[in-house]
Amino acid sequence: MKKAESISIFGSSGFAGLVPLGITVFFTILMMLPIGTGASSFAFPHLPLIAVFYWTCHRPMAMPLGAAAFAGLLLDLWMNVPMGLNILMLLMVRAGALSQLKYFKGRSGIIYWIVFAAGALLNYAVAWAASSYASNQIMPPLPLLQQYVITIFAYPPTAWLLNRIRKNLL
Amino acid sequence: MRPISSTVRGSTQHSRMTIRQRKAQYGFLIYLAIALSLLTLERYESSAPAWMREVAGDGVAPMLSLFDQPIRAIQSGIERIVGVSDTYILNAELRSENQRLLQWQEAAAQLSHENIRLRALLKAPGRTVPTAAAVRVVGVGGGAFERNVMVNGGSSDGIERGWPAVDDIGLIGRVTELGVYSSRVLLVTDLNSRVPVRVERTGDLAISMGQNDDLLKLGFLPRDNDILVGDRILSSGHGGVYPPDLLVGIVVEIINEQAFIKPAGLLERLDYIKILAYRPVPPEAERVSGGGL
Repeated sequence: MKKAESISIFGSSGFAGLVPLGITVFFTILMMLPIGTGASSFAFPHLPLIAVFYWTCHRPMAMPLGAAAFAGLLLDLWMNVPMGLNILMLLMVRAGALSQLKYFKGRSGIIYWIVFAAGALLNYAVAWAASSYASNQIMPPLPLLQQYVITIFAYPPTAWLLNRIRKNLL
Repeated sequence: MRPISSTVRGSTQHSRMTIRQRKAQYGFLIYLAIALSLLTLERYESSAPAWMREVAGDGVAPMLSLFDQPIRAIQSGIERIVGVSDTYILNAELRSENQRLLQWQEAAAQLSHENIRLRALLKAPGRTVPTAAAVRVVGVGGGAFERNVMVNGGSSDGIERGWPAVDDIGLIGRVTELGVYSSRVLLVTDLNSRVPVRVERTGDLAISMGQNDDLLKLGFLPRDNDILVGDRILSSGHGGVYPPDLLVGIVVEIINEQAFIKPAGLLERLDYIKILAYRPVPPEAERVSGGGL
């Protein structure tokens, strides 16, 4: 558990240790693809946020600080959002999950969902403040709120998928 | 009583854990400092983040093209299956539309010919903007706050920053970030997007403003305007970013004297788009040579 605190990008579990980061990066690419409703009123769930939370809870060694920051950097670069925003979000979700893990570890999936929803709300509030700071104007909170709600509803199927991957690969 | 060796091992482990914890705390603070520094660079509009994004865009564009193909194939497959039941009705509609369009085509050809002749007669500047490149949308971006798309063409295709982008029907945005093999187009629906426009029917000038929504807001209209639902909104050419007479959208609703436009470009189904090589040159340089009777 404490090894998870390593600041390297990659965990220490060999190839299998790269799976969580690989999936998180894949989710980042998925967020960029012009799927479904397309670009005009685009609101896609923040899948990397779900992935970082999930892996921090279930395989913390495979989601070290560096991996979360690296995934955040890729998101910032590729999504064309203020640089540093997703680094901040992923670091915070990881730190929050690690600090509270002892209280909900081993509980049912619904508890994980509730914890994620609560943590993500705080995270999105910070993201709104960070966006406003970076763009030097008060940003409307509604778009972030929309993405937050969509992300919360995307959590159960994404966590189910990650569960399958974890049980088969890790 | 605990053996001395075990106590020593315990304390060593404890000190190691403390070192690790401390290392982790430092690590967290370092990454946090990096994130905050980057946000500060964005706040003061440093060119470094934009440059990093352009380089990163070139790196990810080929990957997106790779994933894009199977996804588009699946989407078109689904659309085909869903669309089979509508084919008969659609066919009948298209036949009647085709009849109408053939009549319009004849009228358009005559008007176009007449237009060229009159422009030559008056020595009026030409309005045709050449296409710099036809590119494909490979990615969307912007997260919750921005509306932009990544396209698989960059400076190697002759594209320049600031050039307008259109689809078959109308204006969709302009190039804001330029890589070598990829670039980013800020859509007209983005919150930061402003397009000088005019109402085709009345000639009133206004500004179309994106609001991160499906509809655009029409601002700065004259007080005594008589804008109506269904009016076509064209780019006015003011400001020099967009050429005049590109279709921006159609007025779909007016609420409390505030008009809202539905963008003409099919922003929710972008595929191939054109980047126009538009340079707002002085009118003298654009004058039609020769002509005149």
